[in-house]
Amino acid sequence: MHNAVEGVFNPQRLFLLLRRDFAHGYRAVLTAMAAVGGVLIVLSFLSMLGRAGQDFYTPFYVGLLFLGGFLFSSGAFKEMHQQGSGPFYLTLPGTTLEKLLSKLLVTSVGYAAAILVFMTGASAVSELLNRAVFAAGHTWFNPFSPANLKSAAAYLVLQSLFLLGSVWFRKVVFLKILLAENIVVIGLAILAAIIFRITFAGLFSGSHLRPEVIQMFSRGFGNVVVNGRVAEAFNRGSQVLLTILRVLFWGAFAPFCWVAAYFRLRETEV
Amino acid sequence: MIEIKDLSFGYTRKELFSRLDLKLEPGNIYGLLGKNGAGKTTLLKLIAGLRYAQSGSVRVLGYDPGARPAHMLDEVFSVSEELFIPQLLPRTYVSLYAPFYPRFDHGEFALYMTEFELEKDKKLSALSHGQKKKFVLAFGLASGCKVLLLDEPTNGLDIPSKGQFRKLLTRAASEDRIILVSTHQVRDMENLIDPLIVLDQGRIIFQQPMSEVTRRLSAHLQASEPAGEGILYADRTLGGWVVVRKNTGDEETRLDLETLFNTVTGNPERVAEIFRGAASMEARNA
Repeated sequence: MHNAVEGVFNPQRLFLLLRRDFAHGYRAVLTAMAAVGGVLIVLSFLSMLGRAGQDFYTPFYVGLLFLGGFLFSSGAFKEMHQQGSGPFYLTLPGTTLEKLLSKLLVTSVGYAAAILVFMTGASAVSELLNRAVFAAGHTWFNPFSPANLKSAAAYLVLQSLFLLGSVWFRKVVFLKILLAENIVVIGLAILAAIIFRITFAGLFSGSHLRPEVIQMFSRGFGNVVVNGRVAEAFNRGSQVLLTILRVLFWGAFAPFCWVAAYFRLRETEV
Repeated sequence: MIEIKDLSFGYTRKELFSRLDLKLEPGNIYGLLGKNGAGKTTLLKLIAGLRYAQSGSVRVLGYDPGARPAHMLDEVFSVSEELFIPQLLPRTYVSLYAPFYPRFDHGEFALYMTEFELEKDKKLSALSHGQKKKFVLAFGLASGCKVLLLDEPTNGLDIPSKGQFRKLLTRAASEDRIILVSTHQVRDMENLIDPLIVLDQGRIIFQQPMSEVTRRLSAHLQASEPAGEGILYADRTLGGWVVVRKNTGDEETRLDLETLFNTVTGNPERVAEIFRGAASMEARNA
Protein backbone atom coordinates (compact mmCIF):
# COMPACT_ATOMS: atom_id res chain seq x y z
CA MET A 1 0.00 0.00 0.00
CA HIS A 2 1.17 3.52 -0.65
CA ASN A 3 2.52 5.84 2.02
CA ALA A 4 -0.38 7.85 3.53
CA VAL A 5 1.38 11.24 3.30
CA GLU A 6 2.49 10.53 -0.25
CA GLY A 7 -1.13 9.79 -1.08
CA VAL A 8 -2.12 13.30 -0.01
CA PHE A 9 0.91 15.29 -1.10
CA ASN A 10 3.77 14.42 -3.39
CA PRO A 11 6.23 17.15 -4.45
CA GLN A 12 6.89 15.36 -7.74
CA ARG A 13 3.20 15.45 -8.70
CA LEU A 14 3.00 19.10 -7.61
CA PHE A 15 5.96 19.87 -9.85
CA LEU A 16 4.26 18.11 -12.78
CA LEU A 17 1.07 20.11 -12.22
CA LEU A 18 3.01 23.37 -11.98
CA ARG A 19 4.95 22.58 -15.13
CA ARG A 20 1.71 21.80 -16.92
CA ASP A 21 0.03 25.01 -15.73
CA PHE A 22 3.07 26.97 -16.84
CA ALA A 23 3.20 25.29 -20.25
CA HIS A 24 -0.47 26.02 -20.90
CA GLY A 25 -0.45 29.58 -19.60
CA TYR A 26 2.91 31.15 -20.35
CA ARG A 27 2.08 32.28 -23.88
CA ALA A 28 -1.01 34.20 -22.80
CA VAL A 29 0.93 35.75 -19.90
CA LEU A 30 3.84 36.77 -22.14
CA THR A 31 1.45 38.29 -24.69
CA ALA A 32 -0.37 40.23 -21.97
CA MET A 33 2.94 41.41 -20.49
CA ALA A 34 4.22 42.55 -23.89
CA ALA A 35 1.02 44.54 -24.43
CA VAL A 36 1.06 46.05 -20.95
CA GLY A 37 4.80 46.76 -21.25
CA GLY A 38 4.18 48.65 -24.49
CA VAL A 39 1.40 50.70 -22.91
CA LEU A 40 3.60 51.44 -19.89
CA ILE A 41 6.47 52.73 -22.01
CA VAL A 42 4.20 54.91 -24.15
CA LEU A 43 2.34 56.36 -21.16
CA SER A 44 5.57 56.99 -19.31
CA PHE A 45 7.00 58.71 -22.35
CA LEU A 46 3.91 60.91 -22.78
CA SER A 47 3.75 61.77 -19.11
CA MET A 48 7.31 63.12 -19.32
CA LEU A 49 5.88 66.07 -21.22
CA GLY A 50 4.32 67.38 -18.04
CA ARG A 51 5.18 65.43 -14.91
CA ALA A 52 8.85 64.50 -14.94
CA GLY A 53 10.34 63.40 -11.65
CA GLN A 54 7.11 62.03 -10.24
CA ASP A 55 6.53 58.45 -9.09
CA PHE A 56 4.86 57.22 -12.24
CA TYR A 57 5.39 53.49 -11.80
CA THR A 58 4.02 52.71 -8.36
CA PRO A 59 0.35 53.43 -9.24
CA PHE A 60 0.81 51.44 -12.44
CA TYR A 61 2.31 48.56 -10.47
CA VAL A 62 -0.51 48.62 -7.91
CA GLY A 63 -3.17 48.58 -10.64
CA LEU A 64 -1.45 45.81 -12.53
CA LEU A 65 -0.86 43.78 -9.39
CA PHE A 66 -4.39 43.97 -8.05
CA LEU A 67 -6.62 44.25 -11.11
CA GLY A 68 -4.50 41.98 -13.30
CA GLY A 69 -3.93 39.53 -10.46
CA PHE A 70 -7.59 39.33 -9.54
CA LEU A 71 -8.53 38.71 -13.17
CA PHE A 72 -5.77 36.11 -13.48
CA SER A 73 -6.82 34.39 -10.25
CA SER A 74 -10.50 34.33 -11.26
CA GLY A 75 -9.56 32.30 -14.33
CA ALA A 76 -7.33 29.83 -12.48
CA PHE A 77 -9.84 26.97 -12.50
CA LYS A 78 -11.58 27.91 -15.74
CA GLU A 79 -10.53 24.64 -17.38
CA MET A 80 -12.25 22.68 -14.65
CA HIS A 81 -15.63 24.16 -15.60
CA GLN A 82 -15.37 23.47 -19.31
CA GLN A 83 -16.79 20.39 -20.98
CA GLY A 84 -13.74 18.72 -22.44
CA SER A 85 -11.04 19.95 -20.13
CA GLY A 86 -13.06 19.60 -16.89
CA PRO A 87 -13.13 15.79 -16.77
CA PHE A 88 -9.55 15.70 -18.01
CA TYR A 89 -8.31 18.03 -15.28
CA LEU A 90 -10.20 16.34 -12.48
CA THR A 91 -8.97 12.89 -13.49
CA LEU A 92 -5.39 14.03 -13.89
CA PRO A 93 -3.32 12.05 -11.37
CA GLY A 94 -2.90 14.51 -8.54
CA THR A 95 -4.66 15.05 -5.24
CA THR A 96 -7.05 17.90 -4.51
CA LEU A 97 -4.40 19.50 -2.32
CA GLU A 98 -1.77 19.34 -5.07
CA LYS A 99 -4.15 20.76 -7.66
CA LEU A 100 -5.15 23.63 -5.36
CA LEU A 101 -1.53 24.31 -4.38
CA SER A 102 -0.35 24.44 -7.98
CA LYS A 103 -2.99 27.03 -8.91
CA LEU A 104 -2.42 28.94 -5.68
CA LEU A 105 1.35 29.15 -6.19
CA VAL A 106 0.98 30.30 -9.79
CA THR A 107 -1.67 32.95 -9.11
CA SER A 108 -0.33 34.28 -5.79
CA VAL A 109 3.43 34.16 -5.23
CA GLY A 110 4.14 33.38 -8.89
CA TYR A 111 2.07 36.27 -10.20
CA ALA A 112 3.25 38.78 -7.57
CA ALA A 113 6.91 37.90 -8.22
CA ALA A 114 6.42 37.99 -12.00
CA ILE A 115 4.81 41.43 -11.79
CA LEU A 116 7.64 42.77 -9.64
CA VAL A 117 10.22 41.46 -12.11
CA PHE A 118 8.20 42.69 -15.07
CA MET A 119 7.71 46.17 -13.60
CA THR A 120 11.39 46.41 -12.75
CA GLY A 121 12.37 45.46 -16.31
CA ALA A 122 9.69 47.47 -18.13
CA SER A 123 10.24 50.60 -16.02
CA ALA A 124 14.02 50.34 -16.51
CA VAL A 125 13.57 50.21 -20.30
CA SER A 126 11.07 53.05 -20.14
CA GLU A 127 13.34 55.19 -17.97
CA LEU A 128 16.37 54.61 -20.19
CA LEU A 129 14.26 55.81 -23.10
CA ASN A 130 12.97 58.84 -21.16
CA ARG A 131 16.44 59.80 -20.05
CA ALA A 132 17.84 59.40 -23.55
CA VAL A 133 15.16 61.62 -25.07
CA PHE A 134 14.41 64.13 -22.32
CA ALA A 135 17.62 63.94 -20.31
CA ALA A 136 15.29 63.50 -17.32
CA GLY A 137 12.93 60.87 -16.03
CA HIS A 138 10.53 59.63 -13.42
CA THR A 139 11.57 58.14 -10.12
CA TRP A 140 12.99 54.65 -10.67
CA PHE A 141 10.68 51.78 -9.73
CA ASN A 142 12.01 50.07 -6.62
CA PRO A 143 10.68 46.51 -6.28
CA PHE A 144 11.98 46.31 -2.70
CA SER A 145 10.39 49.49 -1.39
CA PRO A 146 8.30 48.80 1.74
CA ALA A 147 5.18 50.19 0.06
CA ASN A 148 5.53 47.88 -2.95
CA LEU A 149 6.25 44.86 -0.82
CA LYS A 150 3.28 45.66 1.39
CA SER A 151 1.08 45.90 -1.71
CA ALA A 152 2.34 42.47 -2.76
CA ALA A 153 1.55 41.10 0.71
CA ALA A 154 -1.97 42.56 0.57
CA TYR A 155 -2.39 41.02 -2.88
CA LEU A 156 -1.41 37.60 -1.57
CA VAL A 157 -4.21 37.85 0.98
CA LEU A 158 -6.91 39.32 -1.26
CA GLN A 159 -6.31 37.10 -4.26
CA SER A 160 -7.34 34.08 -2.20
CA LEU A 161 -10.93 35.32 -2.50
CA PHE A 162 -10.67 35.31 -6.30
CA LEU A 163 -9.07 31.89 -6.27
CA LEU A 164 -11.99 30.62 -4.19
CA GLY A 165 -14.41 32.25 -6.63
CA SER A 166 -12.62 30.56 -9.48
CA VAL A 167 -13.27 27.16 -7.94
CA TRP A 168 -16.82 28.09 -6.98
CA PHE A 169 -18.28 29.78 -10.04
CA ARG A 170 -18.50 28.35 -13.54
CA LYS A 171 -18.94 31.48 -15.63
CA VAL A 172 -18.48 35.28 -15.38
CA VAL A 173 -16.28 34.53 -12.38
CA PHE A 174 -14.73 37.97 -11.86
CA LEU A 175 -18.04 39.85 -11.85
CA LYS A 176 -19.71 37.25 -9.65
CA ILE A 177 -16.91 37.56 -7.12
CA LEU A 178 -17.24 41.36 -7.10
CA LEU A 179 -20.99 41.04 -6.63
CA ALA A 180 -20.60 38.47 -3.86
CA GLU A 181 -17.91 40.61 -2.26
CA ASN A 182 -20.22 43.66 -2.28
CA ILE A 183 -23.02 41.67 -0.72
CA VAL A 184 -20.66 40.47 2.01
CA VAL A 185 -19.34 43.99 2.58
CA ILE A 186 -22.87 45.38 2.90
CA GLY A 187 -23.71 42.56 5.31
CA LEU A 188 -20.57 43.28 7.35
CA ALA A 189 -21.35 47.01 7.37
CA ILE A 190 -24.80 46.30 8.79
CA LEU A 191 -23.27 43.96 11.36
CA ALA A 192 -20.63 46.55 12.23
CA ALA A 193 -23.33 49.21 12.67
CA ILE A 194 -25.22 46.94 15.05
CA ILE A 195 -22.07 46.13 17.03
CA PHE A 196 -21.15 49.82 17.13
CA ARG A 197 -24.61 50.74 18.36
CA ILE A 198 -24.42 48.14 21.14
CA THR A 199 -20.79 48.78 22.11
CA PHE A 200 -21.03 52.56 22.09
CA ALA A 201 -24.54 52.88 23.40
CA GLY A 202 -23.44 55.96 25.32
CA LEU A 203 -22.80 57.89 22.12
CA PHE A 204 -26.40 57.52 21.03
CA SER A 205 -29.58 59.22 21.96
CA GLY A 206 -32.33 56.90 20.73
CA SER A 207 -31.42 55.87 17.20
CA HIS A 208 -29.31 58.99 16.55
CA LEU A 209 -25.80 60.00 17.53
CA ARG A 210 -25.67 62.65 20.24
CA PRO A 211 -24.91 66.21 18.95
CA GLU A 212 -21.50 66.43 20.64
CA VAL A 213 -20.44 63.13 19.03
CA ILE A 214 -21.42 64.38 15.59
CA GLN A 215 -19.39 67.48 16.36
CA MET A 216 -16.45 65.28 17.33
CA PHE A 217 -16.68 63.37 14.04
CA SER A 218 -17.01 66.53 11.96
CA ARG A 219 -14.07 68.33 13.57
CA GLY A 220 -11.77 65.36 13.83
CA PHE A 221 -10.67 63.83 17.08
CA GLY A 222 -7.44 65.65 17.73
CA ASN A 223 -8.57 68.93 19.23
CA VAL A 224 -11.96 67.93 20.56
CA VAL A 225 -12.48 67.43 24.22
CA VAL A 226 -15.53 65.36 24.87
CA ASN A 227 -16.84 63.61 27.87
CA GLY A 228 -13.86 61.64 29.21
CA ARG A 229 -15.70 58.35 29.56
CA VAL A 230 -17.12 58.53 26.01
CA ALA A 231 -13.74 59.32 24.45
CA GLU A 232 -12.05 56.59 26.43
CA ALA A 233 -14.66 54.01 25.44
CA PHE A 234 -14.45 55.07 21.83
CA ASN A 235 -10.66 54.86 21.71
CA ARG A 236 -10.53 51.54 23.47
CA GLY A 237 -13.27 50.07 21.27
CA SER A 238 -11.61 51.36 18.11
CA GLN A 239 -8.28 49.81 19.05
CA VAL A 240 -9.85 46.46 19.83
CA LEU A 241 -11.82 46.47 16.60
CA LEU A 242 -8.80 47.45 14.52
CA THR A 243 -6.69 44.72 16.11
CA ILE A 244 -9.39 42.14 15.45
CA LEU A 245 -9.72 43.30 11.86
CA ARG A 246 -5.95 43.20 11.33
CA VAL A 247 -5.72 39.68 12.72
CA LEU A 248 -8.68 38.57 10.61
CA PHE A 249 -7.25 40.13 7.46
CA TRP A 250 -3.61 39.06 7.74
CA GLY A 251 -4.10 35.80 9.60
CA ALA A 252 -7.49 34.32 8.88
CA PHE A 253 -8.89 35.65 5.61
CA ALA A 254 -6.61 33.81 3.16
CA PRO A 255 -6.54 30.49 5.08
CA PHE A 256 -10.33 30.57 5.25
CA CYS A 257 -10.56 31.04 1.46
CA TRP A 258 -7.98 28.31 0.83
CA VAL A 259 -9.78 25.81 3.03
CA ALA A 260 -13.14 26.67 1.46
CA ALA A 261 -11.56 26.32 -2.02
CA TYR A 262 -10.10 22.94 -1.06
CA PHE A 263 -13.45 21.52 0.02
CA ARG A 264 -15.25 23.01 -2.96
CA LEU A 265 -12.65 21.53 -5.31
CA ARG A 266 -12.89 18.15 -3.60
CA GLU A 267 -16.63 18.00 -4.07
CA THR A 268 -16.70 19.31 -7.63
CA GLU A 269 -18.53 17.03 -10.05
CA VAL A 270 -18.64 17.39 -13.81
CA MET B 1 -11.29 -4.85 -10.09
CA ILE B 2 -14.27 -2.51 -10.24
CA GLU B 3 -17.07 -3.27 -7.82
CA ILE B 4 -20.33 -1.36 -7.58
CA LYS B 5 -22.79 -2.29 -4.86
CA ASP B 6 -26.28 -0.99 -4.25
CA LEU B 7 -25.53 2.18 -6.16
CA SER B 8 -28.18 4.87 -6.29
CA PHE B 9 -27.66 8.03 -8.26
CA GLY B 10 -29.84 10.61 -9.91
CA TYR B 11 -29.90 14.12 -11.21
CA THR B 12 -32.16 16.82 -9.78
CA ARG B 13 -35.23 15.77 -11.72
CA LYS B 14 -34.42 12.21 -12.63
CA GLU B 15 -33.39 9.13 -10.73
CA LEU B 16 -30.94 7.22 -12.87
CA PHE B 17 -29.66 4.24 -10.89
CA SER B 18 -31.41 2.48 -8.09
CA ARG B 19 -29.55 -0.24 -6.19
CA LEU B 20 -27.30 -1.03 -9.14
CA ASP B 21 -24.72 -3.81 -8.79
CA LEU B 22 -21.83 -4.43 -11.14
CA LYS B 23 -18.55 -6.26 -10.95
CA LEU B 24 -15.83 -5.99 -13.58
CA GLU B 25 -12.77 -8.23 -13.60
CA PRO B 26 -9.38 -7.60 -15.22
CA GLY B 27 -8.58 -9.27 -18.52
CA ASN B 28 -11.79 -8.25 -20.28
CA ILE B 29 -12.98 -5.70 -22.79
CA TYR B 30 -16.46 -4.98 -21.49
CA GLY B 31 -19.04 -3.48 -23.81
CA LEU B 32 -21.53 -1.20 -22.13
CA LEU B 33 -24.67 -0.78 -24.18
CA GLY B 34 -27.88 1.08 -23.46
CA LYS B 35 -30.44 3.36 -25.00
CA ASN B 36 -29.99 7.13 -25.00
CA GLY B 37 -30.26 8.44 -21.45
CA ALA B 38 -29.78 5.00 -19.90
CA GLY B 39 -26.86 6.34 -17.89
CA LYS B 40 -23.83 4.86 -19.66
CA THR B 41 -21.77 8.05 -19.53
CA THR B 42 -22.85 8.71 -15.96
CA LEU B 43 -21.78 5.21 -14.96
CA LEU B 44 -18.34 5.84 -16.49
CA LYS B 45 -18.16 9.15 -14.61
CA LEU B 46 -19.02 7.44 -11.34
CA ILE B 47 -16.21 4.95 -11.94
CA ALA B 48 -13.78 7.74 -12.85
CA GLY B 49 -14.67 9.83 -9.77
CA LEU B 50 -16.30 12.62 -11.74
CA ARG B 51 -19.68 11.97 -10.11
CA TYR B 52 -20.39 10.78 -6.58
CA ALA B 53 -22.69 7.94 -5.57
CA GLN B 54 -25.67 9.15 -3.57
CA SER B 55 -25.85 5.82 -1.78
CA GLY B 56 -24.16 2.47 -2.12
CA SER B 57 -20.51 2.06 -2.95
CA VAL B 58 -18.16 2.19 -5.90
CA ARG B 59 -14.67 0.71 -5.55
CA VAL B 60 -12.06 0.94 -8.28
CA LEU B 61 -8.88 -1.08 -7.69
CA GLY B 62 -9.80 -0.93 -4.02
CA TYR B 63 -10.14 2.86 -3.94
CA ASP B 64 -13.18 5.07 -3.52
CA PRO B 65 -13.21 7.04 -6.78
CA GLY B 66 -15.23 9.83 -5.13
CA ALA B 67 -12.14 10.78 -3.15
CA ARG B 68 -10.16 10.99 -6.41
CA PRO B 69 -7.00 9.56 -4.84
CA ALA B 70 -3.91 10.16 -6.96
CA HIS B 71 -2.93 6.49 -6.85
CA MET B 72 -6.26 5.53 -8.37
CA LEU B 73 -6.17 8.32 -10.95
CA ASP B 74 -2.78 7.21 -12.23
CA GLU B 75 -4.33 3.80 -12.95
CA VAL B 76 -7.52 5.02 -14.63
CA PHE B 77 -7.61 6.69 -18.02
CA SER B 78 -10.85 8.07 -19.43
CA VAL B 79 -11.53 9.02 -23.00
CA SER B 80 -14.73 11.04 -22.94
CA GLU B 81 -16.76 12.21 -25.91
CA GLU B 82 -15.72 15.82 -25.33
CA LEU B 83 -11.97 15.89 -25.77
CA PHE B 84 -9.45 18.19 -24.16
CA ILE B 85 -6.94 19.11 -26.82
CA PRO B 86 -4.50 21.91 -25.99
CA GLN B 87 -2.50 23.90 -28.51
CA LEU B 88 0.56 21.72 -28.20
CA LEU B 89 2.69 19.50 -30.37
CA PRO B 90 2.20 15.78 -29.71
CA ARG B 91 5.70 15.47 -28.21
CA THR B 92 5.07 18.42 -25.86
CA TYR B 93 1.77 16.89 -24.78
CA VAL B 94 3.50 13.59 -24.07
CA SER B 95 6.34 15.26 -22.19
CA LEU B 96 3.82 17.09 -20.00
CA TYR B 97 1.33 14.31 -19.35
CA ALA B 98 3.12 10.98 -19.67
CA PRO B 99 5.04 11.47 -16.36
CA PHE B 100 1.69 11.43 -14.54
CA TYR B 101 1.29 7.76 -15.55
CA PRO B 102 4.05 5.62 -14.03
CA ARG B 103 3.83 2.84 -16.64
CA PHE B 104 3.42 5.00 -19.73
CA ASP B 105 5.03 3.14 -22.63
CA HIS B 106 6.68 5.55 -25.10
CA GLY B 107 7.44 2.73 -27.53
CA GLU B 108 3.82 1.62 -27.65
CA PHE B 109 2.72 5.23 -28.04
CA ALA B 110 5.00 5.70 -31.04
CA LEU B 111 3.57 2.53 -32.54
CA TYR B 112 -0.01 3.69 -32.02
CA MET B 113 0.81 7.06 -33.55
CA THR B 114 2.16 5.28 -36.63
CA GLU B 115 -0.77 2.86 -36.82
CA PHE B 116 -3.23 5.74 -36.59
CA GLU B 117 -1.24 7.65 -39.22
CA LEU B 118 -0.98 10.72 -36.98
CA GLU B 119 1.36 13.57 -37.85
CA LYS B 120 3.99 14.19 -35.22
CA ASP B 121 4.83 17.76 -36.15
CA LYS B 122 1.37 19.21 -36.32
CA LYS B 123 -0.23 20.99 -33.38
CA LEU B 124 -2.97 18.95 -31.78
CA SER B 125 -5.46 21.79 -32.00
CA ALA B 126 -5.03 21.81 -35.78
CA LEU B 127 -6.05 18.15 -36.15
CA SER B 128 -9.51 17.04 -37.26
CA HIS B 129 -11.91 15.70 -34.64
CA GLY B 130 -11.20 12.12 -35.68
CA GLN B 131 -7.44 12.68 -35.51
CA LYS B 132 -7.75 14.28 -32.09
CA LYS B 133 -9.71 11.29 -30.91
CA LYS B 134 -7.10 8.91 -32.30
CA PHE B 135 -4.37 10.85 -30.51
CA VAL B 136 -6.15 10.66 -27.17
CA LEU B 137 -6.89 6.98 -27.72
CA ALA B 138 -3.23 6.34 -28.55
CA PHE B 139 -2.18 8.15 -25.38
CA GLY B 140 -4.72 6.26 -23.27
CA LEU B 141 -3.77 2.86 -24.67
CA ALA B 142 -0.09 3.60 -24.04
CA SER B 143 -0.72 4.97 -20.54
CA GLY B 144 -0.33 1.55 -18.94
CA CYS B 145 -3.39 2.24 -16.80
CA LYS B 146 -5.15 -0.78 -15.35
CA VAL B 147 -8.56 0.70 -16.13
CA LEU B 148 -9.47 2.23 -19.47
CA LEU B 149 -12.86 3.93 -19.75
CA LEU B 150 -13.80 4.67 -23.33
CA ASP B 151 -16.97 6.62 -24.04
CA GLU B 152 -18.03 6.28 -27.67
CA PRO B 153 -14.44 5.73 -28.81
CA THR B 154 -15.28 5.22 -32.48
CA ASN B 155 -17.44 8.33 -32.89
CA GLY B 156 -15.75 10.54 -35.41
CA LEU B 157 -13.34 7.90 -36.67
CA ASP B 158 -13.29 7.14 -40.38
CA ILE B 159 -13.71 3.58 -41.66
CA PRO B 160 -10.00 2.61 -41.76
CA SER B 161 -9.48 4.16 -38.32
CA LYS B 162 -12.24 2.05 -36.83
CA GLY B 163 -10.41 -1.06 -38.01
CA GLN B 164 -7.12 0.29 -36.65
CA PHE B 165 -8.80 1.06 -33.35
CA ARG B 166 -10.12 -2.50 -33.01
CA LYS B 167 -6.70 -3.88 -33.78
CA LEU B 168 -4.94 -1.61 -31.29
CA LEU B 169 -7.49 -2.16 -28.56
CA THR B 170 -7.00 -5.91 -28.88
CA ARG B 171 -3.25 -5.35 -28.67
CA ALA B 172 -3.62 -3.13 -25.61
CA ALA B 173 -5.82 -5.61 -23.76
CA SER B 174 -4.00 -7.60 -21.11
CA GLU B 175 -4.69 -9.90 -18.19
CA ASP B 176 -4.40 -7.14 -15.62
CA ARG B 177 -6.42 -4.55 -17.47
CA ILE B 178 -10.11 -3.69 -17.44
CA ILE B 179 -11.34 -1.98 -20.57
CA LEU B 180 -14.89 -0.66 -20.47
CA VAL B 181 -16.28 0.61 -23.74
CA SER B 182 -19.56 2.48 -23.80
CA THR B 183 -20.96 2.74 -27.28
CA HIS B 184 -23.90 3.01 -29.61
CA GLN B 185 -21.74 2.00 -32.54
CA VAL B 186 -22.22 -1.70 -31.94
CA ARG B 187 -21.07 -2.70 -35.41
CA ASP B 188 -17.69 -1.13 -34.72
CA MET B 189 -17.35 -3.31 -31.64
CA GLU B 190 -18.37 -6.61 -33.19
CA ASN B 191 -15.97 -9.41 -32.22
CA LEU B 192 -14.18 -7.07 -29.85
CA ILE B 193 -16.25 -6.54 -26.75
CA ASP B 194 -16.81 -9.48 -24.48
CA PRO B 195 -18.59 -9.68 -22.04
CA LEU B 196 -21.54 -7.52 -22.89
CA ILE B 197 -23.35 -5.36 -20.34
CA VAL B 198 -26.75 -3.86 -21.07
CA LEU B 199 -27.98 -0.95 -19.00
CA ASP B 200 -31.67 -0.19 -19.07
CA GLN B 201 -33.85 1.99 -16.84
CA GLY B 202 -31.22 2.30 -14.16
CA ARG B 203 -30.46 -1.41 -13.93
CA ILE B 204 -27.96 -3.84 -15.39
CA ILE B 205 -30.36 -6.14 -17.20
CA PHE B 206 -27.71 -8.24 -18.90
CA GLN B 207 -24.09 -9.11 -18.25
CA GLN B 208 -22.85 -12.18 -20.08
CA PRO B 209 -19.83 -13.37 -22.02
CA MET B 210 -20.45 -13.94 -25.71
CA SER B 211 -19.77 -17.67 -25.31
CA GLU B 212 -22.77 -17.87 -23.00
CA VAL B 213 -24.86 -15.86 -25.46
CA THR B 214 -24.21 -18.25 -28.33
CA ARG B 215 -24.86 -21.23 -26.05
CA ARG B 216 -28.21 -19.98 -24.80
CA LEU B 217 -29.64 -18.05 -27.73
CA SER B 218 -29.98 -18.92 -31.36
CA ALA B 219 -30.49 -16.68 -34.35
CA HIS B 220 -31.76 -17.88 -37.72
CA LEU B 221 -32.70 -16.30 -40.97
CA GLN B 222 -36.04 -17.46 -42.28
CA ALA B 223 -37.90 -16.49 -45.42
CA SER B 224 -41.40 -15.99 -44.03
CA GLU B 225 -42.67 -13.84 -41.17
CA PRO B 226 -42.18 -15.82 -37.97
CA ALA B 227 -45.17 -16.85 -35.89
CA GLY B 228 -45.73 -18.91 -32.79
CA GLU B 229 -44.27 -19.09 -29.34
CA GLY B 230 -40.64 -18.94 -28.34
CA ILE B 231 -39.72 -15.95 -30.44
CA LEU B 232 -37.65 -13.49 -28.45
CA TYR B 233 -36.98 -11.09 -31.25
CA ALA B 234 -37.69 -10.86 -34.98
CA ASP B 235 -36.57 -8.28 -37.45
CA ARG B 236 -37.20 -7.99 -41.16
CA THR B 237 -33.98 -7.85 -43.14
CA LEU B 238 -32.77 -8.45 -46.68
CA GLY B 239 -33.73 -11.94 -47.65
CA GLY B 240 -36.24 -12.56 -44.89
CA TRP B 241 -36.46 -12.37 -41.12
CA VAL B 242 -33.83 -12.68 -38.43
CA VAL B 243 -35.43 -14.58 -35.58
CA VAL B 244 -33.95 -15.04 -32.13
CA ARG B 245 -35.07 -17.89 -29.89
CA LYS B 246 -33.83 -19.76 -26.90
CA ASN B 247 -31.19 -22.22 -28.04
CA THR B 248 -32.61 -25.61 -27.28
CA GLY B 249 -30.11 -27.70 -29.20
CA ASP B 250 -26.35 -28.06 -29.33
CA GLU B 251 -25.92 -25.91 -32.40
CA GLU B 252 -24.28 -22.56 -31.68
CA THR B 253 -25.22 -19.63 -33.87
CA ARG B 254 -23.79 -16.18 -33.88
CA LEU B 255 -25.83 -13.12 -32.92
CA ASP B 256 -24.65 -9.73 -33.96
CA LEU B 257 -24.55 -7.15 -31.17
CA GLU B 258 -27.42 -5.09 -32.52
CA THR B 259 -29.76 -8.08 -32.63
CA LEU B 260 -28.62 -9.19 -29.21
CA PHE B 261 -29.17 -5.72 -27.75
CA ASN B 262 -32.66 -5.51 -29.24
CA THR B 263 -33.47 -8.98 -27.95
CA VAL B 264 -32.31 -8.15 -24.44
CA THR B 265 -34.01 -4.75 -24.18
CA GLY B 266 -37.20 -6.05 -25.82
CA ASN B 267 -37.62 -9.02 -23.48
CA PRO B 268 -35.55 -8.42 -20.37
CA GLU B 269 -37.48 -10.83 -18.14
CA ARG B 270 -37.55 -13.70 -20.64
CA VAL B 271 -33.89 -13.26 -21.45
CA ALA B 272 -33.03 -13.14 -17.75
CA GLU B 273 -34.98 -16.40 -17.31
CA ILE B 274 -33.02 -18.06 -20.12
CA PHE B 275 -29.71 -16.93 -18.67
CA ARG B 276 -30.60 -17.78 -15.10
CA GLY B 277 -27.95 -20.10 -13.81
CA ALA B 278 -25.25 -18.80 -16.14
CA ALA B 279 -21.93 -18.59 -14.35
CA SER B 280 -21.35 -14.85 -14.57
CA MET B 281 -24.92 -14.02 -13.59
CA GLU B 282 -24.68 -16.25 -10.56
CA ALA B 283 -21.42 -14.68 -9.54
CA ARG B 284 -22.89 -11.23 -9.95
CA ASN B 285 -25.99 -12.00 -7.96
CA ALA B 286 -23.96 -13.64 -5.22
